[in-house]
Amino acid sequence: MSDPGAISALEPAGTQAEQIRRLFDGYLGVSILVFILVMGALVVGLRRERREDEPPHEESPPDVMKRKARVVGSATAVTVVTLVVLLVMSVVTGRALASLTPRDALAIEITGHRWWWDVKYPDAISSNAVRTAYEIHVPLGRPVELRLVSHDVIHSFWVPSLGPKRDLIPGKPSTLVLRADRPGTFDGLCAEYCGLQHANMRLRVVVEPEREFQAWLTQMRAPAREPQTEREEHGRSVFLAGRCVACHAIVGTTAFAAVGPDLTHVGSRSAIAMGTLPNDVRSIRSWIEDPQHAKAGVIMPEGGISDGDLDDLALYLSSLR
Amino acid sequence: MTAEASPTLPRALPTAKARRERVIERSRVLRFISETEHQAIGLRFVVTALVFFAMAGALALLMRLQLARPGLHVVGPDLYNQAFTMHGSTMMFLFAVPVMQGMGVYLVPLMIGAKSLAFPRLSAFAYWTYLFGGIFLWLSFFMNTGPDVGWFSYPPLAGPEYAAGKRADVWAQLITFTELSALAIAVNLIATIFKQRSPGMSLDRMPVFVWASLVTAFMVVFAMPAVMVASTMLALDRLVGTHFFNPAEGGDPLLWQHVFWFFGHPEVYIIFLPALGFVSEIVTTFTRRPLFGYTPVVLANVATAILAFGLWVHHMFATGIPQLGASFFTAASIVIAVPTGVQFFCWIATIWGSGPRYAAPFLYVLAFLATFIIGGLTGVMQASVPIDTQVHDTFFVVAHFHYTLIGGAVFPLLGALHYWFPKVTGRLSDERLGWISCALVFAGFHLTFFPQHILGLHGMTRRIYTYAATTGWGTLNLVSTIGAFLIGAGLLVVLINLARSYRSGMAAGNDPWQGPSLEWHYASPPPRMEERDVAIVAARYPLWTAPVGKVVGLEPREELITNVIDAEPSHKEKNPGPSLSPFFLALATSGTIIACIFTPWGLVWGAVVIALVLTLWYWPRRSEVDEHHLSEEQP
Amino acid sequence: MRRELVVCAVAALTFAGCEREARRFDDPDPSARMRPPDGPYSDNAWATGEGARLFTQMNCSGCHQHGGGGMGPPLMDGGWRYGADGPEVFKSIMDGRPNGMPAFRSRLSEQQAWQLVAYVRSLSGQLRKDVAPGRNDQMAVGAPTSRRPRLPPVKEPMP
Repeated sequence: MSDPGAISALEPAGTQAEQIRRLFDGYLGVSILVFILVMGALVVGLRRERREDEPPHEESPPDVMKRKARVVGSATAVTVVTLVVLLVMSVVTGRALASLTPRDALAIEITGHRWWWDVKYPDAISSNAVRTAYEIHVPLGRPVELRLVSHDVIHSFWVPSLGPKRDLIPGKPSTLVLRADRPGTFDGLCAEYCGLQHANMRLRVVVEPEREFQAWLTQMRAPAREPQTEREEHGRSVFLAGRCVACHAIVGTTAFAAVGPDLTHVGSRSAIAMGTLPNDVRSIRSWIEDPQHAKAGVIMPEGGISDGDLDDLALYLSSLR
Repeated sequence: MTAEASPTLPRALPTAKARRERVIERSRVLRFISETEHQAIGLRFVVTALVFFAMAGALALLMRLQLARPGLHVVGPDLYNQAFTMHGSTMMFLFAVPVMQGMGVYLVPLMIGAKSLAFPRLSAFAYWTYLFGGIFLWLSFFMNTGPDVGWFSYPPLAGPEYAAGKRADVWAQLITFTELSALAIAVNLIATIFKQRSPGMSLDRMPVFVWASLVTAFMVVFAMPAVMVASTMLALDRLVGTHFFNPAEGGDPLLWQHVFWFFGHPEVYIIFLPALGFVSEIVTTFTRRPLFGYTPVVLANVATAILAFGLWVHHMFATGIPQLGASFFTAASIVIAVPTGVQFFCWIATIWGSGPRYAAPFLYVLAFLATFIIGGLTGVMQASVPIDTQVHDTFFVVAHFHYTLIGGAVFPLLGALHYWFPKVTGRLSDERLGWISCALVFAGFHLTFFPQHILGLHGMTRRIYTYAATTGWGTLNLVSTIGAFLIGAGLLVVLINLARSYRSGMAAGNDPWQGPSLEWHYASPPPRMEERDVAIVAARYPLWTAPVGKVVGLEPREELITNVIDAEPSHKEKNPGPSLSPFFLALATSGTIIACIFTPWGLVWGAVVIALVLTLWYWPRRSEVDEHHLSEEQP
Repeated sequence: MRRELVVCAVAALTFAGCEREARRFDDPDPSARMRPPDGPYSDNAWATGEGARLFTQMNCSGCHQHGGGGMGPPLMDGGWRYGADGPEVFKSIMDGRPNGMPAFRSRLSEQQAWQLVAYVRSLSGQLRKDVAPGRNDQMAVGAPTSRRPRLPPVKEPMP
């Protein structure tokens, strides 16, 4: 498996995540202070001896009561003020997050399925549009407008290092604007329980400078790589003759079903099966042979392909870079 | 139990009722199912809830085993999904609310000096309905029909297209069982607290736990109908094809979230407020001091209850709702920290310089104070929309709500169990085992749940049955699992302690802790209604200030009804005594509810049976009519 | 005698629940559990739900609409040209039929085909009410499948 991407809200790589991190640090600092003060008061109060003029079962003398009332009152006032400050900090951060405008943004359409991410890069020229799955590439420093749609149940798009999560709700398309400010690989997950394989509905975001991103986009626009060897050629014919074409598309062949992930450049991804298996021939082969083994309940049926054919098919798919 | 002619009435009462009761007396089974005494019902609620607690806890241990290392195969995704759904649903619906209500049913009449609840037969009906609902859920689980859509059951995942079979319908009808039960008890508690307090116990002399129970009961009355509406809409979508949550036909999945969380947020305060009541009682007794700031504490409870209804959208911050509206809910969710803070300050002020007695109940209160505050602080963090859009649906939230629910409700509950154990059983529990269990549970709890804050911030989402080794979550998950088993060990010690002490603990007497409130005035265990007096009180802490008076001239089964604000005597009412009707009504209701899973006609046929049972219940009996006429002549 | 009856009732309920909710993700040979005349999944709600999903994904509605028929014959009525029993519907799907029903043997696994069989038969009410699926999340085309009455299969003449 290729190196895992960073997956932490505490290691922000995008402006949204960065601002949230700062807000969180503020809240955390206040919380630690409050904890120390309150628990400190409790410990000190526990250790204080009972005074002579405080017999059991009776209220404390009036001067003690008055002093305690003043302290409790002040503590309450300080609490209110602190909470108001925290509220203002939160609202300010919220508005800053919303101010990331989608001007010059790269639009990406993401459709959540059970249990995979369908990713499209739309283009005014329709033959330049790109469809892929699992691995999203975005340019460094440019806002990205994610248009989120659900195909079936509620999912949630979340890449902790880059920014907030957003639910994909059927019937309610929504938009999330992110901007990545550091290059690298960042992992994400579906963050709304969506059924049997919710745990394995992963995604990966690769942030690269504009030039590398455009190169990747160009590569993705090209139709599938032609088979170079006889075995790859045979693998392609196995693909086209079998169950695969009922659901999967490979641009440049006669397979164009959109039920399952697009496989045109599947060999170029850092992992397969939504990030649960490494992208090598052996894993591809075992995945097709028995998807239920790796992901019980997944919608993909077993391949129903003989051993020799399976080897060639895996070789062919692996070659689709 | 006898039913002789009353000395104050001119002639002997007809004995048909007495005859019925003698028949019931003779059979153990009939006695058991006809019980309406509040101590028995309250005890049954608490014990049953603790059994469900153990079962849901076992599921938690199973889940922790599965998550201990990456890529384990202890259970597959299907069973895991059922496990967390059953764990959440059992804990929330079959443990947390019933146990608090059960404690109320047991303690409130004793604390206010009433002989029984206002509607004893309704409370019995509530218990049987709750029991049958719980059995129904778990039996379904063992028949592979346990719900697997999460305790909050979001459509479309829980809707007819994506949740095949009857699992989600079982969940929806579980709601009906438990919310019916909760409403019945809530109504009971409100009426009892308002109208059956001892003479002299004006509202501002009520124990804080009674206030907490009252406020919670009002919350139940306003919140439970919302979830019943939601579950009914879901059941209708699934059973007959309505389109409440179908966007293609004008419905909306978000409708579910709004209606459910309108209930769901008050629900956690329904669980939490009675626990705060426990804390106030225990702090008062063990600091040997009146609670500092009685009025602010009571008002804080009321404020929390009201505010709780204005927070629900904070469960939906990731759904893309407009910013301005979301900010309102941020403000409300932050403000609700103030009344809880006030209570904290008042408790610490009470404890300050009191030289408290460090017995098990007080230890659990200290555990609560140290734990809940962390939960409250992470709650304030999650109130902020930007922070919540990162931590929502991660283990950070799991950590938060366990800190508030276990720290804020279970620790006080454990303290309360140890505190009132002598009253309920007449025996003292073992102090050393109490210390050991508290230490184990406290240490185990923090070991389990503190790392989960970090896991959530590092990307670990909720409701996942496994995770990749490359995420680096393995170590903290293992620590969390070890902690979970420590909690289990601690709870086992509690069980052993209480079970052994029940058998052979030292005799406790009426008032082993020298508590201030009326329940300590009665014998341990408290006598049945017929042998109990109604007290007269003159102060907020009756057992600390003055001898407690006694009302004379009441029949064994007569209740004294007093007025709402000042508890001045108003009139007398007759307690109906034991009755078989609640049990049969619960059976009829349960059958109706279960039939509704399979066919809408279940409601129709079920309604006929229910009407029949209700008719038999309310059929006027000669003896009751005669008694009523007599009491009108001589009020 | 009463105890035996209770045990039988409980067992019946248990097994009914168990089969309806069984989720067989890996079922290489479903026909081994054949129950003529229905098919291996006629008591299985989960499999029937999967069949509903496949009906859309394989574009059966392209010819059969949502059961009302179009280019292909209706599936929600009582008329069956080639037989309403499970094995016959299975054969229709896998091997195709005259007048334009394609053969899907090379495109579907046996398990998927049997799931489709269960769903197709549910459209005319052949399945138990608690097994048949409810409404789907699309625009409504009629009563939910589980609310439809059972239409006794009748042999329909060839067109």
